[in-house]
Amino acid sequence: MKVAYAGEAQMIVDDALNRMYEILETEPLSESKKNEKPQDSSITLDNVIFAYENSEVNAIDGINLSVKAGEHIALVGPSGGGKTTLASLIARFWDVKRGAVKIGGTDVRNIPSDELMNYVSYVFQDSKLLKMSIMDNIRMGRPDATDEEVMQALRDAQCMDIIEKFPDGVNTMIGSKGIYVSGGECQRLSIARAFLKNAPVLILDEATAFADPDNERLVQQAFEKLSKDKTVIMIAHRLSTVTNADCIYVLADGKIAESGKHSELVANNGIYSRMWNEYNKSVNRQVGKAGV
Amino acid sequence: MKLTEKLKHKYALSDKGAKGMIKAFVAVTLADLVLMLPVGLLYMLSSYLLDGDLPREKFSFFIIAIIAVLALIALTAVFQYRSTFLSTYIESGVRRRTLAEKLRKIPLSFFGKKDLADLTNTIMGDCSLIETGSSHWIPELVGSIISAAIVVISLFFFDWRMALAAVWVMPVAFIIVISSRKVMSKVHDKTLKYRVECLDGIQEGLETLRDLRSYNMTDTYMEGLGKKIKAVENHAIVAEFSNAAFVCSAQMILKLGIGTVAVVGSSLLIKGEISVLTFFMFLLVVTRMYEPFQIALQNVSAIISLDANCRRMDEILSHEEQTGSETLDNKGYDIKFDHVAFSYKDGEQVLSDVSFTAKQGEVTALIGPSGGGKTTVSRLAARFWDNDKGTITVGGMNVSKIDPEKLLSLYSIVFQDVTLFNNTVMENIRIGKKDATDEEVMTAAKLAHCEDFVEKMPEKWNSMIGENGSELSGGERQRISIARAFLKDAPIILMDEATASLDVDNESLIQESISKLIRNKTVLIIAHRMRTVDGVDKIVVLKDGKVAEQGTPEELRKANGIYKHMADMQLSSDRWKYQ
Repeated sequence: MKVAYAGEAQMIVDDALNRMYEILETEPLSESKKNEKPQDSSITLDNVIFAYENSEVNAIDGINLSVKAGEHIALVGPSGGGKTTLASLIARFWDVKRGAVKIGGTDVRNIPSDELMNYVSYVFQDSKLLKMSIMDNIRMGRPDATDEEVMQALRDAQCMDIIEKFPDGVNTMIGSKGIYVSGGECQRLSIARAFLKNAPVLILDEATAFADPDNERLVQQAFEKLSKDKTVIMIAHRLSTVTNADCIYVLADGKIAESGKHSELVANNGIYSRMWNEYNKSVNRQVGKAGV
Repeated sequence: MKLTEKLKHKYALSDKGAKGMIKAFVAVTLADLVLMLPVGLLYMLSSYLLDGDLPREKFSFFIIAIIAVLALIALTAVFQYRSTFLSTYIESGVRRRTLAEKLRKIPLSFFGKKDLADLTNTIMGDCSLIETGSSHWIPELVGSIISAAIVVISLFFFDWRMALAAVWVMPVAFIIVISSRKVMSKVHDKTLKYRVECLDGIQEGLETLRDLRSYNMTDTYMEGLGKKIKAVENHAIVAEFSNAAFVCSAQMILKLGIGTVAVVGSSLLIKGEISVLTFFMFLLVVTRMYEPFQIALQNVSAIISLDANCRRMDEILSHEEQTGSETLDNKGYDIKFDHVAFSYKDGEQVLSDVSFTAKQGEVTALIGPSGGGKTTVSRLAARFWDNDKGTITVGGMNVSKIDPEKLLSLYSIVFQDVTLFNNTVMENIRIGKKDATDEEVMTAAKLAHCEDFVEKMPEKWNSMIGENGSELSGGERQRISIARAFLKDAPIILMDEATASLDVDNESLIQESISKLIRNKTVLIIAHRMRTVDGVDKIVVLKDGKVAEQGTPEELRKANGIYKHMADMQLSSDRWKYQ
């Protein structure tokens, strides 16, 4: 009977080991020994192709684009078109399958990852906070920042109303009992992080839906302030916010379908102008019995 | 049957499970006792041998007896296996199902207050621990105590002095282990705490990995996590050591029994008060009788620590359920809130006094600052939680008196946080109405404009969408959620307006289909964008848990209050351009 037990245990162990090997065998992103540094905050994409694992379709299918230092560009397009994927490649969350992503003329694969992360701030649309005080959460942006610098970042990111809401102020522990931070508030706090980090390249993933208008306005103001003098890539879900970008790229099926300034694209009578019309139609729509 | 009742509560068992456990006690006792039979045989055999002669006719008797004993051992082993393993695994199946069933009926507020890591740990870890406990530890302990007691009693018939010499160690060992209970219980609570902290840390790390990486914080975080893991490790060593200190000394004392039997036995033998045979037999018995007891003692501390697991399980199992009548006696579908108050268990007041009516055939919009109670109101309307004060009625029927599942048949719910299952697109939509045909599913999907992305997927309607829809974009997920609502076609619709405005490309298409969906129904909508509520029949403004304003959009605009402020604010943010 002992043999039977041992056999069973053996099977369980084998199974567990297999699952562990699966993780261990996943190749980490290669860390370059070249130790190169970006020359400036320009961004170049050279015929970039990317596909998710186990997917036959290329999520990014041959994209070329170049952003000069200090330029503001916007990525728009239907959901699933590749906006977020493209931005993630710039921050090197994944490696390209073919082609190259360059920041300041240097291939991101040749930049040590911590150096790269010093260069790029990414404000996710659903940034997460850690279970520690608000102060420490913001300080993630720059671990050696003083308390005063953290407070300044919070002010810049329009977060003071959040701080005032809690009796413990900036020392409030996130995730403890009864502490609730809404999606919009969470995004403002993560903008404060980005303020503190003050990296020259900024990737903004605009939240798709805001909890309430007051919050929305504050987030927008914070974005605006944060973007000054930086190279900005904005993933836009609402067209009204991008009309002033230096260049708008319309992504569809992993390709750049159109690009140009707002006025050019509207005149072009392509996808963007169709989206723009859609958008204007929807802006004027109201929920109600009449509906249409 | 009192015993079964007690077992049921203590070890989170079902009726059948408690009976099964008693059966397991009997099985283990029998198996332990049968193991003593060879000793009896050996005793008889040696008594003949000591007399100098083994009669021929007894020879075959011994052969038969040995075979019979072997068969008995095999039989009781099978019986023990059946009644411990098989019945407990059936039981643990029952327990897991009961737990799942219970989780289904507990008010959702329970989950908001629970640490997810803690809950996962309870469901996964505690279940299997209790399994091992009830299949091995507990029956083995109880069985060995009973069989030891029987053996001890029979020993006293032979010679009470020798019996005493053999037996005294048992209560002593037992007392040592039991007295460690308090210490060990504390140690185990701590172990559990460290383990939960560690699991929590791992889960948090995985959830926030993206943020950690983009701020070069992975090393710092791993350092903290490393400390937590180290703490678990260190504490596990402490726990093992303190356990070993008690259990090993108890086991050593058991071994002492052999010594005292030898000493007492030889002195009695010299005095001529016992025969060599009795002495020999006692020596044989003591080497055997401690064995099951020794194994059982090892598990006493494990059984003690099981208490903590059982308590956590019991906390879930004894949690109040939401129950109610199975018959819906509503007349129409007006939703009415009458002086409703609601607070979370920890006293945080979310709603203090909310009264309004959402009429059938009308669209009622809930607006207000975040934290004002919009989401809470919509969830109370569907009895996700139970309100503390006031009444909520649907067509005059008090929702808190109705079985939640029955009640939910009246509602279609389209919220932002749609949950998708790792199944095909088709099956994910069919959740809206389980018995819908493929055609019905596809029609609903077309109405929600799912068709354009489904057609692009490799296997079309039969494409798997990954865990919680990981293969889909945000807009696509929302459209599946709307398709479910179309399929269900319930008379009441609870909706989050943000759901309808995710996808720039399809926004107006989706709005069009939503307008179709909500026709002639009671619609309660959580709205964020003021311009979309301009055309609704009624607006309820919630602020600080109270209804601050209510009325038609026109009335509220004139009132120049919160609604007016929010609408103006939004106008300016809509005109905001990214510079």
